[in-house]
Amino acid sequence: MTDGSLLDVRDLRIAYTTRAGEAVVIPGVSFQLKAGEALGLVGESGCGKSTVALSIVRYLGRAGRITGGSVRFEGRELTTLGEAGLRAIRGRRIAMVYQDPMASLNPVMTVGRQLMEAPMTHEGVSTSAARARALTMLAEVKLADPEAVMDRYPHQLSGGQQQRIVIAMALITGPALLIMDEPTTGLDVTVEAAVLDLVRELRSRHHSAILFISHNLGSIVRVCDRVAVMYRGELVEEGPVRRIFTNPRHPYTRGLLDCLPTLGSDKRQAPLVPIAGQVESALARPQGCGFAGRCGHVETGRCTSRPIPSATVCGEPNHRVVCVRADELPRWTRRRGADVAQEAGGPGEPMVAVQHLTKIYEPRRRRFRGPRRPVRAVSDVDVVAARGRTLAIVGESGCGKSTVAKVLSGLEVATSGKVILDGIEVGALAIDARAAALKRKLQMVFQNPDSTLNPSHTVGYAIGRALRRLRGGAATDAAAGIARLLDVVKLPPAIAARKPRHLSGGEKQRAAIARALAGRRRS
Amino acid sequence: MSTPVAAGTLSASSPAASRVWARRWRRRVAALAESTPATIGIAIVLAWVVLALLAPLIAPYPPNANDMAALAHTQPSKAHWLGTDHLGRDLLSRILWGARPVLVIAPLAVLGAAALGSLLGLAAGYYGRWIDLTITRACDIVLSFPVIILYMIILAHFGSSAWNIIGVLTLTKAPIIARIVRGMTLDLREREYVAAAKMRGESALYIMLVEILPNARGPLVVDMCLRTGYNVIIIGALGFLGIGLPPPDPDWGGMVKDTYGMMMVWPHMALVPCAAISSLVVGFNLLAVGLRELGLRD
Repeated sequence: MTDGSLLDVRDLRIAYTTRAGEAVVIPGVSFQLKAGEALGLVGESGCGKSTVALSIVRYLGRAGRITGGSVRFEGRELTTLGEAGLRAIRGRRIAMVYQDPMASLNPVMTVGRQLMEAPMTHEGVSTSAARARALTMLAEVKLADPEAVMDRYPHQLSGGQQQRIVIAMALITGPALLIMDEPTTGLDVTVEAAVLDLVRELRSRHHSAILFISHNLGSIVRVCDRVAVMYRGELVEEGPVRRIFTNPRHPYTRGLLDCLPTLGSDKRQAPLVPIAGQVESALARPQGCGFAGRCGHVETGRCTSRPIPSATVCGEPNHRVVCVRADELPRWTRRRGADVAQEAGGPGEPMVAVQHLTKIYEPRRRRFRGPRRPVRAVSDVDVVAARGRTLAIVGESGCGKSTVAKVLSGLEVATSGKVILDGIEVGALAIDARAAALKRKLQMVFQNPDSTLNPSHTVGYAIGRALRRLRGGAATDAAAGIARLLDVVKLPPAIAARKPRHLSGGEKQRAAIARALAGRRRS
Repeated sequence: MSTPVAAGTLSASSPAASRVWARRWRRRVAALAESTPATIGIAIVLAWVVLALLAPLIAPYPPNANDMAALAHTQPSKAHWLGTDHLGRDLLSRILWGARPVLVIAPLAVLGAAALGSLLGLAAGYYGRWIDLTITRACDIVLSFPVIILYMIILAHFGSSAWNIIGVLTLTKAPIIARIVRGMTLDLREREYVAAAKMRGESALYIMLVEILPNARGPLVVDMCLRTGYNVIIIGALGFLGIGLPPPDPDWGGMVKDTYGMMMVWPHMALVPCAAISSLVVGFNLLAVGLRELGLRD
């Protein structure tokens, strides 16, 4: 055990066996974690951060394999430890919290029994003692009325409450290391903030180290002491949170910081600067720096010829970076996108006007048990959006914002009130009753990238069909139209021949935006 | 901007597109061949198909020819590899010829049931309300009859022919498929791509057939494969009950019926067609297992 670190990962190499052969996804990652310390692992999806975390407890599935390096935890080597030894560590010394709480909880067991299970099986504690511990844990994760919660089933709790239960389950055995894999990604912003604060508070009380995985720098700041930035399976920069945020040395970290929106400045004053290009595959790895293809500071030869060594940043002993030009780059200042020209004049005539919109869902009648109360999803809402402007409707889940969208789009019909779309009243018109010209004017981009495109059809088919339906006879050349729409959302034309399962979440959503734009007259 | 790449890959008739298709199919077959049960299943089913197709060429005797000389010695011999039946007809020839009607009727009936059942299931799941109620109850009624008795009633009424058997099997199997498709439709109709299709004004029929049905095909194909095997059993049972294909043309079930009385003396006469039925059913079942594995992996 070196310098008292709890977890010492050195040159960890991970490969996946695929039909095409062995694919090295993590070519070598090293980091340390001291007892009670919180390290944030950040990177875009597919960069290998979850793979690294899961490999610590060797949850890689059948295809994944550790091909080299070492993982030492409390002085023991985990890469060679037997199944029995691993079982003793998993859940007891190392606990995990995943993104989807519902997948971690057993739907047919009460919350109480699930909480009591770990102490009873791992430590042989009596039922009453386990119950007492479960109750204290529930109080610690700030669930009101722990006694009542003990007897609930997971589906009777909200997403935030479920995630608190999962955290309680993870901490009940007093683990030395808690691995959290995007624990708040599925939660509302307000709930997320509360859960993050809870994690920070519990961490100081239980003195557990945390490995916190997220693609969201904001949530990492709230919980962690140190940040490690991953790109294409490699740790490109690592250091204390404050140093990373004030003096990022790696161009990729800088790009990530440039993507963070600042509150209070609108899209015209401070447009976000996306990182150029797209996330490259972790498989076809170049000789030198993996980020070279998207980097604005790349120097052919120096950056691309040989592997880049990890170096300490000048004057900051705890701050490591994998970039040959790290010391030459100027100090980072937040980049601003080019100013978007302000449209002349004030808001134009209204494109969408919602007046006194009310939507009430009539529940189905129940026999013998009397009528249920109708659900008032939207109550007397007034909203106006001017032509060419963006209007945001913000609120927690269940506040009715989706219902407004559904009535606008005609998937639901308003109970009362008016929805005027470009001068035509549509609140009472279901989608089938709307004229084709009206359909063209209002298209929607949906929430879930996995369900927005039909998995059975190619992207080209989806967009082509939308073109034909929405533009009718005006569509002259389908292939050219599809390519043009794909170009609008910055996707290569070759993607038209692919099915959604070969696309990343971001690419799917871009294709969905292209589909929604098919009705535009000029593009 | 013009993009030759997209233009080439989009039109279905271009050689590039057919190459993509060929490659996709080759990949599917290769994936199926990785599964041991699927490989065995494909081998059995394909073997029967080839034997049935070649029956006129490879069958040593005409299926209905009596060899009176062989009646003295019906057991398998050099002249009659699998022996003869009680009328002196060569069993091997009859088995080979008997594979033909089974391999036509069973899959055709499944295709019919899948088409009818999918439409019913899609309509029930997509529209809901009274349409769902009517279709579901009608299916329940059909399913509540003991099937064999139902076959006997219908076939006794309309007479027995290949087409009638296909019709009866279609009608009685469609409700099962309808249930499967309805269940999947209930889930799939809530997907966002269905909402997107509605928003661009697609018809209900288009949404059901193009947006929903293709995504239900995985379980549907597995079930169709299983059901083809079951149909082989039912066709055998109908033959055994004497309401299958009319004699004298060979029919595996009928062959068992004609000879099972002589089990104690000449067991091979009934056992050979029984073995034929079983092997074909096992073949289809193994293929279904393989297809399911494939579906789970995707």
